[in-house]
This record gives sequence, C-alpha cells and structure tokens, in this order.
Amino acid sequence: MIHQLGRLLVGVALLLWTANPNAEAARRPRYGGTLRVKTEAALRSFQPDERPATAAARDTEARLHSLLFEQLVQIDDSGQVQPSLAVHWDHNPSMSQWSFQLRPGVRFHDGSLLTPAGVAVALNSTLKTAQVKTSGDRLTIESQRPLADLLYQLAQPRAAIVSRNRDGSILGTGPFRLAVWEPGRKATFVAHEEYWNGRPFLDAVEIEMQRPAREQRIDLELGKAEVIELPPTQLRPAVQRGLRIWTSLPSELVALSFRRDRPSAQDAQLREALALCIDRVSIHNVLLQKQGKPAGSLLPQELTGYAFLFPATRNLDRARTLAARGRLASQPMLLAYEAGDGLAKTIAERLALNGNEVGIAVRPLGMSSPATATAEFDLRLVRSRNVSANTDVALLAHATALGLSSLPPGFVTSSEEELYAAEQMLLRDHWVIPLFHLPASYGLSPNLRTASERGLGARGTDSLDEWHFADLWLEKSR
Amino acid sequence: MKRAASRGPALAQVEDLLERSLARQNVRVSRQNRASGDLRITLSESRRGLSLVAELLRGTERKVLIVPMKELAPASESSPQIKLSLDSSLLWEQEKRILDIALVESRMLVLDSEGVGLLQKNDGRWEKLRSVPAASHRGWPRDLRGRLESKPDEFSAYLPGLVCHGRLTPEFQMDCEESQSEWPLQTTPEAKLTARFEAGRNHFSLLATETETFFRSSTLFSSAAFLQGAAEPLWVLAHDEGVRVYDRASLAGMTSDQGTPSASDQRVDSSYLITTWGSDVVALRSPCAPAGLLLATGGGDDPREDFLQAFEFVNRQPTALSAPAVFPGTLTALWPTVTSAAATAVVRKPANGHYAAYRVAVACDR
Repeated sequence: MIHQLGRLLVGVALLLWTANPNAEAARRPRYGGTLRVKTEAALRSFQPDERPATAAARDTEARLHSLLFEQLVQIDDSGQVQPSLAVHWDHNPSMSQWSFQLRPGVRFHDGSLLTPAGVAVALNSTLKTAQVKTSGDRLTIESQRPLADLLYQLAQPRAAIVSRNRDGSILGTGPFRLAVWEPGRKATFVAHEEYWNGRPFLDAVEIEMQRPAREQRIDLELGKAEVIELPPTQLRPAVQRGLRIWTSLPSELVALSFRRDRPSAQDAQLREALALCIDRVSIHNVLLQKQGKPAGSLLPQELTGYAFLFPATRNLDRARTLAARGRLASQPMLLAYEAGDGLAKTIAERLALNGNEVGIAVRPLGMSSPATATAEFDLRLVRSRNVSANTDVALLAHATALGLSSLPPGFVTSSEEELYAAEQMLLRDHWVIPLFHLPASYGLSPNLRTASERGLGARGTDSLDEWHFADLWLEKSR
Repeated sequence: MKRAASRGPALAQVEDLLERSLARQNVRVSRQNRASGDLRITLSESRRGLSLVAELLRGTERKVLIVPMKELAPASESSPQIKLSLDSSLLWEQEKRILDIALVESRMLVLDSEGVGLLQKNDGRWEKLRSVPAASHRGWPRDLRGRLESKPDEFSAYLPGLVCHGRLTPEFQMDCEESQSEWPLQTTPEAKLTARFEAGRNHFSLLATETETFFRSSTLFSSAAFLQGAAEPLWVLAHDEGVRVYDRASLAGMTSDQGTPSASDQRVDSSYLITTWGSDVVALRSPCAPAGLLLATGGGDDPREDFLQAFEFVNRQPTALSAPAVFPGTLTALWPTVTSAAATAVVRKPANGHYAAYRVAVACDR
C-alpha cells in the first residue's frame, strides 16, 4: 500500500508542480476497440420495413438504425435540414418537382457504389405519393401535389437508402455494417472501412439484448460494458454509486390516449376530469425519481419554448365537479399499457388511484399489443419518442402515435404561433392527456469518449437521444 | 475524507485525482463516518521546502509516507519556475477544418480538408487569393490531420495517404500523389524528425531521425518532439496512454527487433509516462531555454477551452516554464514552424464550429 501511495503522491505532486488546470488531459480520438452496449429490449428483426412489437424495441431499433443506414438528408439539433447522401437539391416554384445531386463516392457495405438508380429503387417503395426517377447523375422526385414536407420525409428512418444483397440481406451506407445478428440476443456491427464520412474510430459495436437493468449496472461496474441503459428507477442508485451518467434532452412523451370508438370515452367532461385529477408531481417525484418533467404539452419546452403555456397542474375540485356532471359508465375504464414495461405499469396503477379520488374508476391492464384496434380497452398509456429536433416532424409523429388524425400528412408550419395553434388544437378536446417528458439516461464507462457535440456522451444537456457511434472512441487505460 | 471549509482549484484537483486513484485500488473515499480507515494528506512546508505527507490510518495501524516536492522537480534560482510567457496571435479563422498554416514571407498558406489556400495581406487583413484542391479517392479519416512544409517559393502538403508538392510562382499550383511518405515533424539543426502517418487513421507508426529509425508497429503515437536537453537528449512521444519521455537507450528499445520494454521494467527502460498532458507536443527553440522547451497541450473534456504550456526538462523531469495559455476551444492541431521558433495551434471553437489558427511564440519576458 505504501508503494501505491508513493506512486499516487508522485502523481499528485507532479500535478501540483506543473500547475495544470485539469488533472486528466483531453486526448486525440483513438482508433480501435469494441464498444459493448447492453439493452433490455429484444429486437427480433432488423428489417427497415418491419415494425418491432414493443416500444422499447422500437426505440432500440431507432437508435441502431443510424449505425447502418442513411437518408438523402438529415435533420440537425436545431431542426434544420442538412445534406447527407444528397449534397444539393432544388425544386420548382410549386414544390411538386425536386431534383437531388447525390454525394459522389458513397459506397454500400458490400463496396458497391451508390447510384441514382439504386436510390430511386429504394425510395419508390417508400414515397407512396411521388415518383422517383433518374436524370443523368441526378435524382428527380415528382408528384401531383406540392411536396412542401419532402425534405422532412426524406430525413425519416423509413426513407433510408437500403440495398439488398443477392441473399436478401440488407445493406446500407452507414458507418457500420452488420456482422453478426442473433435475433433478440446479440448484434455485432463492424466499422465500414470505406465510409464516406470517415471510418468510425471504433472497430466494432456489440449489442447485447434482453439484459435486465440490474445486470446491466453490474456489467458496467465490472468493466463488461461501456454503455448501459438507465431507466428512471435506476438513476438514483447509479448516482449514489458514482457511475458516469449521460442524460439526453427529453426523448419521449408519456401520455394517455382515449379510444374514439369506445362509448366510455365519448364524454369530454370525463376526459377533462381525468386530465385534472392526475397528480403528475407525485409521480414525477416518486416513480420517476424526478427525471424529466411533468407535461401539459406534446412537445417539450426544450424544442418549442412554449410548453409552459400548457398547464399540467392538478385541480381536484374542478375534476370532481366535472366527474359528477359526466356520464360515468358502470364498468371501470380499461387503461392499457404495454405488458412488460415496468415503468408504464407503475404509472398506470398510480393513474388509477388518481381517478378513484374523483370517482372515475380506472383499471390498468397490461397488454402485449395495446395499439391493435381489436384489443379491449378505453384508453392507453403511450410512450412516444421525440423522433426529430424538427418540431413539425416531432409533432406529427406524436399525433400519429397517439391516434390523433387532425394533422395532414404534409404538415409544415411556418411560425411558432402556427405550431402552437396546431398543438393546442390537438389537445383541445382532451382525447390525449400529456403526462411527462422523459429524457433517456445512460451509464457510461470512464474510458468512453466522443468527438461529437451531439448525442450520446456529448457534454451539456442539449442533445437528443441519438447514438452517433461513429464519433465515439475508447480511451486507453492509463 | 474531511474537506476544508474552502478549497481552491488546485486542492480540488488533488482531491479528485486522489479519489480516482484510490478507487482504482478499491479504496472508496467516504465523507461520512462509515469509513474503515482514514487517509490524511498534508501539504507541509519546512525550511527544506514543501513535502506531501500521507497518513493511512486503519484501526491501530498507521503508515506514513513523505514525498519531498524538491525530489520531483526542484525549483532553483538558476531555473525559476515561470520564466517566459506564451504569446498567441490569431492568424486565420474559417469554417473548414484547418490542418496547418505556413507563413511564407508576406503570404500565408492554409492547409484544410479541401486543399491549400494562398492568402495575402491587404490593408492589414488576410485575404484568400486562390486555392488548389487536395482529395483522396478513399476520403479522409476522422480527426483529419495534415502538415505543411514551406520554403520561400515552394511547399509540400502532407495528408493521410497523400503528398502534394506545390509552387507559389509563377503560378500558384500543386500536384498530389498517393504516398505513404514520412511527414516532417521537426526540422531543427539539432534533429530532423520525421514520422510515417497511417493513412485512414490519425496517428503515426514510425519515427525516424536522419541517422536512426525507430519502429514498432504497436507503439503508435500522435506527435513527437526532440529536445537537446541540458544533460542528455530526450524524445517525447504522445501515445494513447499518455506522453512518454525517452532517453536514447529507452528509445532504442523501440527498434523493430527488440520491441518496447515494459514501462515497469526499470532495468531496461528508463522512459516514463505523463498522463496529465494531451496528445500534442512540439519542441521549440528559445534563447530563454537553451536546452530546448516543449509545448504540450492539456485540458479536460470541456470543449470550450484547452491550453498550451511550456516545459523544460531538468533531471529528465518536466518543469513548467510558463503559465498555461488558454484557447477558446478544443486544440485540433499543433505543429512547429519551419525554424521551430514558434508553433501553429488550431482550435475548434464550439460557439460557431469554426477553426481558428494561432501563431504561438515564446517571450522571454519573465
């Protein structure tokens, strides 16, 4: 011990002597190494046209998507469209005809070149209301109607430029290629050596799925993982144990959504009564361990700047009055949540208690697929991901996830007021009750670094829940 | 651990370093009364100088260790700790990543991710006259690096896997070819240091002087510098795990056949590691440090600032010669000028994402 102390003190003294303001210096990114990531969700398939069954799996797929695939354009942290596989574009005055110049020298994971013809094949299966053609080295997209939101559509994961091998396996142009795929268990991605934006620093990324949160934490502490998920309930213990933690901007909306075809959900006063009786503060403090924020809006304050205009306060007196006036059904309202989602279950149970306080009987019900129309329930607890920093795209995605059909497919706003009005309209009749905006939190190993100012591992709290793994690197132990 | 009512940044550093170091040895520091032992560290001053005194108390067991500060890096009248300052002046700022800059008489060459730009001063401001492209068919790696070497009328640009040679007159032009040739790291009369850059990566794998070649594939480095030294020559290489200081014998251990000796094997390797510096070092020539001085980068994870500090080596140990010169972002490049009288430092500014190149010179004014 004395020997170790001696080495320690030499280091301390040298530090004092050289008067460096920081004990550990920033280093140049290092190439090499394998990043080990643990997730609780099980992703059974990695086909762009297949939708995972659970919200957690969908989230995992969305995060992993950017490792393999790219779109023509991308949306940056400020919600602006930026070049990706396309470097230039223009359109006619009516926006019904668009022309794109592809980035030269882009290669798929099998080494084949990205061509306008290949992009046309990929996009024709995605863009239902437009025709994609090639014109020399350019790509044209035409439609009968104006395509004002085309760039936002093209930035979505479903518009990824995918090619298929002869054996049917999928190929992308992203920074990693899929090397090992064990459905629901493990995925290994290796660096795409010919990636147009520079080969990733990491040699490989290993994803181990179906790893319970507690075991993930042990993996991190034992040095068997570099990235683990930290659900809200695990965050406080992680802090107490001194784990390195990264937290994103609010990445998901938790909300209640009523079914419009159910008689028990038709009474607007009852819906409002339920909205007013929910004790978001207690749930936030206790169940969510103060992670995220109670929500009265669909989009978080960080994206819009106006979320505070949507109240999320409890008013039991008014809730009781409205409930007394409402047409209470003889049967309790069935509140569906995704079976297996522990956090959703506890929130649903607490919501049932809140309802009971004003005389609205609510019965939580875990369901394997609560989104299906044939399922028997009156309202459901939805966890909807903030898919983009672009507020129009994010609002449209939430509206779709929550069964709100009031927004047109090509929804584009031109001002903050217009966006606010659209959100106000969506929430006006209480068919949807926003509950919380939650961030994503991760435990990170001490040697994990990022060369990016965006996404996982970036400093500050203004990054979305994005995994820019091409920018991650592993510091060599000292 | 008991903390003083107030503590400055230096003490906070010591405390943080202490806790992390102890944690690596499975000793957890507790600020409550649950600790199984006490570690008390005292910075002590006596007539003989400063000492660090450590007391490990566990039950009746008590161990004491005293490390005199003077043993580590003595300050003396002849070698005051701070005796020069680093003067940095902004040369050029642009959106594209600047890799290196060379001043050629009244003109300036800027090497960036797209090629080399020629600038000339007009009314006290630099203006870009022309630029010539440089591109690799396989694209650039992440953390792109590049090096410029200039003479009065011609220049060479070194990029990963690419070497370009150009002229300023009669017409500004440049020709590039795929090549793994070595990059010039230092061209002082004492030593000409070159190194092979790994195409597709951001590090070097081979270090060479005019007379000797030191090679080991597993010993990669980001930068290297040679110092004549007061007593013996020293080579300073920035590896992944930290900056290692070699003497001739220990550097000879890097030759391909022998391999690098283990750092803990004191019989064959007298090199040692400094982990508090960053990945870039350059050697500069200055009249106030006749044995040569070293500029080293430092800084933490904070992208808002990095710093440079000048050191000299006394008894093979680094001694700070200057206060840290702070830069408004992450240092992405640090190269010596052709005469090693100054350095070019490039910073990525987080506020606008631009790259700013500074000329860093040494002033013997303290």
